[in-house]
Amino acid sequence: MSSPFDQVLIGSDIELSDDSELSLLETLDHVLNRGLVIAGEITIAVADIDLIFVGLNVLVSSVETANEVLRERERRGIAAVSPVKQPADQ
Amino acid sequence: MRLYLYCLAEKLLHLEKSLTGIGGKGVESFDLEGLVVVVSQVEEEIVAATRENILAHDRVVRAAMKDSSPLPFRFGTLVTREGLVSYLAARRNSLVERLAEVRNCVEMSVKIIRTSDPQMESSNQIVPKLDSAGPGTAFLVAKRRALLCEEILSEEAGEIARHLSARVKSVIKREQVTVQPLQKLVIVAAFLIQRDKELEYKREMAAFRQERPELHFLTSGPWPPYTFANIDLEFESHFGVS
Repeated sequence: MSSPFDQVLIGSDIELSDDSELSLLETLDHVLNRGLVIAGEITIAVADIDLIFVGLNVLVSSVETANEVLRERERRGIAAVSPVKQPADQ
Repeated sequence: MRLYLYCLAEKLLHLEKSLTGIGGKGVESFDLEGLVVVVSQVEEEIVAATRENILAHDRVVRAAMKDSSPLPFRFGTLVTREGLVSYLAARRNSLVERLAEVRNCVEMSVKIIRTSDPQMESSNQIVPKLDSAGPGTAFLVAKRRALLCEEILSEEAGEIARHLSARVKSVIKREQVTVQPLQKLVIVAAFLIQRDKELEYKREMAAFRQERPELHFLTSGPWPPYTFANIDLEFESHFGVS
């Protein structure tokens, strides 16, 4: 089974659909890493969200790491990620 | 009671009554210091960074984006009403300027992934392996090769970034391009564009993809202008910076 990161490697382009796990990672990247900041007023609890942060690390580290994590998830039978939509012009 | 902040806007918003924010709480918008804030009233002192809450934050900002171009707050911003009034009073001019800058604009995101390592071959040609070298020489040769690799990678990454910026220059208003020469995710870029330029922007990106078949792209958008919201941390394009 191929992962969306395989598709990133193989395909020439990925345009994210609303329901893919990559879209969730993009949302996390925007919502957690960017935006207006009031100094000292951000307090978040990060308990019980291991997968979210695995995802974030994946996105900002490397494709190899991503594939490794996704392969491990598949091996452990965790639900597969949604397919990534290919753009119409490809 | 504290206020969980989603975004700032220039005018009062017509948010649907069914819209819910973090923790399933109701969302309201009101005028404060001449700016419109979109908030939820919460009892908690801390926000759980759950998938649901993060998606709820984005959902509310996107709802606000339907009839405005808001400045999104970063996830987890909790303030007292007094704290918010004080912040808005102190930063009002900068916030008004930034709201004017993002008016009728959206953010488009591009991530570029490099899949091959041609620089390794280049560096091996310039600094050939010496089979008969002693350990000291071998160490220095390896060190030189590593430095050369970094140089080549930086040069390549900078060239990709300049090419990308030049390609979309005519359709964007602002850009934030981060170059990561030593990583496969070599470029992380965000572009601020007028809403009516979205198709034009996509055409330019399609042309760029055709010009650079050796690279792979992860594109998304339109987003609320998360990257261009912050008035305290100014972002600049930086090419060739590791």
